[in-house]
Amino acid sequence: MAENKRVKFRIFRYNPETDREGRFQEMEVPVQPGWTVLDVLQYIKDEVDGTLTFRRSCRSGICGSCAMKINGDAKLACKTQVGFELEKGSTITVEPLGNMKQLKDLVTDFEGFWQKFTKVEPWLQPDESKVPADREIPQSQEEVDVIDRVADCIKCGSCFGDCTVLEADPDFLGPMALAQAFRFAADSRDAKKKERLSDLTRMGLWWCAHCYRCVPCPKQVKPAHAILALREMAIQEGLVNDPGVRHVQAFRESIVRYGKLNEAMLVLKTRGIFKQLTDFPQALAMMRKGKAKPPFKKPIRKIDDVRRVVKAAAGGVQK
Amino acid sequence: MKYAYYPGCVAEESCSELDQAMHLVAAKLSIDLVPLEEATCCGARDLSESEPEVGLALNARNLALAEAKGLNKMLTICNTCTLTLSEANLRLKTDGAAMAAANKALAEIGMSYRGTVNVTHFLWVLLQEYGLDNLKKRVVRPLNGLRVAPFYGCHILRPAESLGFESAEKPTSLAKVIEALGGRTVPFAGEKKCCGFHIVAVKESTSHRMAGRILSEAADEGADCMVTPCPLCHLSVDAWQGKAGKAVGRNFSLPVFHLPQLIGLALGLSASQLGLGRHLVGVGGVLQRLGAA
Ligand code: FES
Repeated sequence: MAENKRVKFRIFRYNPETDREGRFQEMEVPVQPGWTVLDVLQYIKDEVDGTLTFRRSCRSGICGSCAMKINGDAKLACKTQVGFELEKGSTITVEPLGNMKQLKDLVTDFEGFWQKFTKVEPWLQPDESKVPADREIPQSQEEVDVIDRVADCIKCGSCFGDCTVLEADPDFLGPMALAQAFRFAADSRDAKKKERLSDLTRMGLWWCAHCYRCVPCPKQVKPAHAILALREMAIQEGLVNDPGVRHVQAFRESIVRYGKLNEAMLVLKTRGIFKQLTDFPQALAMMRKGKAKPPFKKPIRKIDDVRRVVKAAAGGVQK
Repeated sequence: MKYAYYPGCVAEESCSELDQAMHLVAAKLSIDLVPLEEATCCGARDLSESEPEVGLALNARNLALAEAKGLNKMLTICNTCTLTLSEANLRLKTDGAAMAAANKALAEIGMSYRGTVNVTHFLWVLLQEYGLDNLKKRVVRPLNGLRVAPFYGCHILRPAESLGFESAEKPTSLAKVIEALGGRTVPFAGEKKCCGFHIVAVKESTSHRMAGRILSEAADEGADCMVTPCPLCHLSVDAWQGKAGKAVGRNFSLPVFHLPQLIGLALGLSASQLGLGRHLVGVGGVLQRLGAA
């Protein structure tokens, strides 16, 4: 049998009954070849300190209980090899998920997570008059393929815990809820697509900053891509009265007109003239440093080429 | 070493000090930057999301402009340009139908793209092609233990499958450059977080809070300054540093350097050559420490 290896861990400990705040506990664990971080936690609980608290059930990446921050990134402890994490440094840090209240040690409160999930009405809402009385509504393979990947979500909370927008804005729906919103809005059997997209636009569909922190999802759900798909659907449905959409549209307009981004025009169109004027001190400070450019700009050389390419690529339709 | 140079819109507009510094640093390092006068905006995430086919065709045109000049490498100095161009390039090279559609649009103007160009970022060029040992040899004004917080941002790391230069979980490239210049890296929690730039016009308060958290995390680790490979990040943490501070109830005064500026200082270029006076947050303290004031 291969040798055990002593590995240093820094594990977050917090007991609400005795501690005012959490702290890191360092310990060395004899790690057997092939052990996951969850194996290590279980070893500590069994052999060293029975009070160490964490969630786990399936131990095989199915139930979604064991998500936590490992060396700064949210992942499933049961799918994370100790050896892999050791490539980043000799000590492995284990903490509870971010963007949630800490309950005890590595256990966090999922309440807000579920509330956001509920907000997107994550259930099928078909047109009842079209539901056959004697059987389920059939779907083609292609229709299934659209939602198959996002339907794999195990609600582990990894994306939620690492979302950089949520960190700054607790009102944001977050990647999981939005990905699941896509799962229903894009379901061929659902009759509420437009209402869903309109609600989502109101609830912050355009607040995602596409930082892609949610793309390394343990189940390859990749919420960021679902969010982009929702945005495309929202524009198609004509839900364009949102700063996010105006931003996208101004971007295109700027390229067609000038070939380049016209920063001043972009900001003006997205935020509106009034908001822009109220931001005068900032604008002035930037102007002094030559950082604010006037919205007049000369098009690049061969701008007609650009316009022809855009027209051809958009199928000849000038949107 | 010769590259098609793609500075991107922001380095030509509000962060023109970056473009200026890049040219001077390239000259010092004997890196030849060939301009692409007819290149367009890459469309950032916006165009590639709302109208992927249009974004793809425009970027095929950008890449074809480099190809037509006989160049097989395109150098960018912006995270979002790097990702958008890399993603487009990857799709063009691996998806025959996408390449055919883009080339159909390019045929309208008598151009075509054969897929011979690679997209890279100045940071990657330093590590992969130029070599840090080479860089070290040219340092005449070492950073002298200056504590520099490496702020990577997002689009130079993620999504990893579109970029793949280094680990998106634990990047080390900026730290290596800082140390090659004689500085000390200050690791901090916000290294690979999002600066909020892409939602500043959509949800301003949130955007500034995102930047404020990053600045807090760097300041709390005792950084003297920060370095970023991306002009969009620079706007968030320098031009809007005051607002970012207000958003998190703090008052920062943390100088932020564009990557070529930090290198330029170590190579002996002056503050005015590097356009440091265009920053909203003064860099005087750092200059004094380095004897570059
Ligand atoms: S224990 Fe079930 S996913 Fe890890």
